[in-house]
Amino acid sequence: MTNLPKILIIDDQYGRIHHSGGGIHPRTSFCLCAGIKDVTGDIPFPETNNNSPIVEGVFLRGQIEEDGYVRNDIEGVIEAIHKGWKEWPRWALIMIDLQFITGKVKPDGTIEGCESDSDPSIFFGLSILERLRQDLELRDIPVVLLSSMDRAPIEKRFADHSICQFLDKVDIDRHHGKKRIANLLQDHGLIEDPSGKIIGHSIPLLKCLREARLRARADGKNILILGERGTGKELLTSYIHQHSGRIGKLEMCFLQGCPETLVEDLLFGHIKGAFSGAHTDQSGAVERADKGTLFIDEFGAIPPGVQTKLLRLLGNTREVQRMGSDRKKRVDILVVLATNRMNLVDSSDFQADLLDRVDVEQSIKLPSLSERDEDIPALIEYFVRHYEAKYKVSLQAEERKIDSEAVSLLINQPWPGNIRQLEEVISNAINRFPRIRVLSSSHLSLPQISLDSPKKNCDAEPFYIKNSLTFSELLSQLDTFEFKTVPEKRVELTNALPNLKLSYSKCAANLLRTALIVTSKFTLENPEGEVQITPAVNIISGKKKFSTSQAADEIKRIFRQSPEDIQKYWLADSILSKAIEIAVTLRPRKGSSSRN
Amino acid sequence: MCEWQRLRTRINHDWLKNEYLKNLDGLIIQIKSSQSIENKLCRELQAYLKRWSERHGEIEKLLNTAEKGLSPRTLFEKEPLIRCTRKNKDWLAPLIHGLWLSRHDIRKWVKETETILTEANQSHALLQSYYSVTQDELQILKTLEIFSDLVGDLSRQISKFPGKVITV
Repeated sequence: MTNLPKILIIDDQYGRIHHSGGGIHPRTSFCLCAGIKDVTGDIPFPETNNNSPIVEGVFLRGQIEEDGYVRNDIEGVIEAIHKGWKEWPRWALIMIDLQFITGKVKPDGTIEGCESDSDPSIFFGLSILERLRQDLELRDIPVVLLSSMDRAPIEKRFADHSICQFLDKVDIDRHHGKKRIANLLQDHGLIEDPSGKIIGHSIPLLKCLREARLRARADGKNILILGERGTGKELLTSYIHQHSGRIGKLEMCFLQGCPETLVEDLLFGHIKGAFSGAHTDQSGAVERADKGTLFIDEFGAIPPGVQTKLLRLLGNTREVQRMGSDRKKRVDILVVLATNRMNLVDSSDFQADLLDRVDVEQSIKLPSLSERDEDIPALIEYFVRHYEAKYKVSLQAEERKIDSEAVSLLINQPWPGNIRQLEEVISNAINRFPRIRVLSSSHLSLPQISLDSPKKNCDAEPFYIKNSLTFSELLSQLDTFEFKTVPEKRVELTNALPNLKLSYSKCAANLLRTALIVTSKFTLENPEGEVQITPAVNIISGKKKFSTSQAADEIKRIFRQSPEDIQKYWLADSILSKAIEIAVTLRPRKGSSSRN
Repeated sequence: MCEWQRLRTRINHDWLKNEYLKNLDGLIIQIKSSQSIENKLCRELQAYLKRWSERHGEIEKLLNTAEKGLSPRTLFEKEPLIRCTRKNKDWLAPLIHGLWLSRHDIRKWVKETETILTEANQSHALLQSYYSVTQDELQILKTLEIFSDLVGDLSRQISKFPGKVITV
C-alpha cells in the first residue's frame, strides 16, 4: 500500500486561518473540489463519504503577521519546502500563488494591501520560484502556478523557470477539479507507483516514472529504455503499458543469444512452409501485441539482418510481414525497446535510420541501484517479506526483523548487478536461514566484488561497515576522520566527534571488562578468577583472532586512545587495571605488534 | 493597474474565484456526500445566500463602470495626457473613446455579462424561496448547482474583460 502523494500549496488566502466570508473556510472547499485531503492541521477537515481524496495537501501562507501588519516570509517558505523535500512522503509537487497581499490588517480581518503587491515584476510567487530554481537541492521540485491572476505579463519570466503549468483557481471546481489535479500529478508529479510493483521513492526513480508516464501517452512513438542489467526494465515496461491506456496486451520479447532466423520468427511469425518445420501459420509477438505494447529486451542484441525489417515496424506505417509471406499487415502498437548498452549512438552495429526511429536522445534512463540507494531499505523489506512468504511452507520460514546494521551494510555495497543482485542476496539469506527472527549482517552472502570495491562517493561512511576495524583502530580514526560534506556541516559533525570518542571508549572499556570477567579462569588456587586477556580481546574483536602479544598491544592501544576520564575509569577498576598490568608486563615496549 | 481593474480583482479574484465559488462547490459536494442538508450545511447555505445578497451589487457596479473605467479616455486624467489643453481634450477624448468602442465592443461584453448576472440573481432568488418556503432538498440541491455554475460562468466572463486600458 503506497502513501497518498503529498503536495504543498503556498497561498496567502488559503494558508491563513482567518476568513471573512461566513460558512466553511474557502481552503476546505477548494480541497473538496480538488480531491485534496487537507493535512495542514490548523483547521478541521470534514470527512466526506463519496469524495475519496487523491492527494494530501499542506497549506502554507508564506507570510508573517506581527503587530497588526502582514509581510512576506521568503526564508520561512524555503525552510518549509526544504523540510518537506527531505522527508518521505516528500512533495510530489508544489503549487504557488502569484500575488500575496501584505500590509495592515483591517478591523474585519482582511488585509489592506500595498501598491507593490500588484506589481507583476515583483510578485512574491515569482520570488519563491526564483529561490527554488537557484537552490541545487530544490531545483527538481515540480512547480505549478495556482493563480487566477492575468498571467500574460509574467508568462515569459515563469517559462524561464521551468514552470510545469499555470492552473487557474476557477478551474478547480466540483466538475473538473479532482480530474485536473489528478492529471497534474500524472504529468508533473514525482509520485510512487501506486500499484506497489515498482518499489521506491528516490528522486531519480520518481523522475524516471514521470518520464515513463509522459512517454506512454505519446501515441505512436517508440520508447527506448536505457538501463544497466538488473535495474527493472521489464517492470518499467509494464508501468508504461499500464499508463498508455492501450487495450491490447503487453507482449515481451527476449532476444539475447537467439540466432537471426529465430529472432525474426519470434518477432514477425511465419506462414506454413516458410522453413522446414513450419507446419502451420504462426503469428509473431508483433501481431499478438496489436492494440497493445511490444517490449523488445536487449535491443542491442538484434542482428543487423533483422534491423532492416524492424525499420518498417518502428516507422509510422507500423507494418509487419510474416516469414515466407509477401503480405504486409498493419498493426497498432507501442514499441518499447530496452538495452543496457548506454552508447548506442557511438556503436557501429546499428543502422542510423533505426536509431533515428527509436529516438535515442529521448530515451528513458533507468537509474542504477547505486543512484537510488535511498530505495534500498524498502527493497530489502519487500524482498524479505516476499521470500519469507515463498519459503513459508517448504522451509517454515519465519517472519523476521531486519537488523539496521544489515541494512546499512547493504546500502553501502556497489551493486553492479543492481536490484536483481540485491534480490539474490536476500533470497539466499532467507533460503539458508529460514527459521531466524532477526536478519543480520552475518546472514548475508555478499558478492565478492562488493567486499573488494566498497561503494564510492559515500559521505561519511559508517565505521561499522569496515568490519575489520578493531576498537583501537576505530578510536584512532575518530581523531582524524574527515567528513565529505559542506563546510558548515563538516564543522558541526567534526565537533561532535570527541563525544562519540568518549562514548566509544567507555563502551570498549565496559565490553572488555565484561569479556575479562566471563573468560576469567577460576581455580581452587584462585577462586576470585584469573584474568586472561587473549580470549577476552578475541571476544570483543568479533571474528579477529589475536595472539597473546597482539591482545596485549590491543589493550594498550585502547587504553592509550581513550580520553583521560576513561583512562581514570580503567585504573580505578580492579579488573581493567589488572588487564593493563598484564599487557604492560607482556609488551613493555611502546611499539605494537602486527595484528596479522 | 487602473481603478476598475483593482475593483475587479477584489470582486472576481479575491471573492468570487478564491472564495465564493469554492464554497458553493464545496457545499454541493458535502450535500451530495451526506445525502441530506444537515443543520451545519443548512447554516452554510444560509450564509452563502446572504453573502450573495450583500455583494452582487458590487458586480453590478463593476459592470456599470466597465466602459468608463477601461476606456482610453481615462488616460487624459493621467500624465502625460493630463497636460493637454482643455480645448484639445474636449474633442480628442470623445474621439478616442469612440474609436475604442468601435474596435472593442465593450457594451456587448457588458450586456452579455449582465445577462449571466441576471440569470444568477434569478437562480439565487429561486434558491432562496426553496430554502425558506418549500425546504425541498432535491430542488435546493438542483438549484444550488445551477446557481454555482452561473456564478462560475459570470466569473469567467468577468475575467475576459481587458487586463489593461487599451489604446487605439
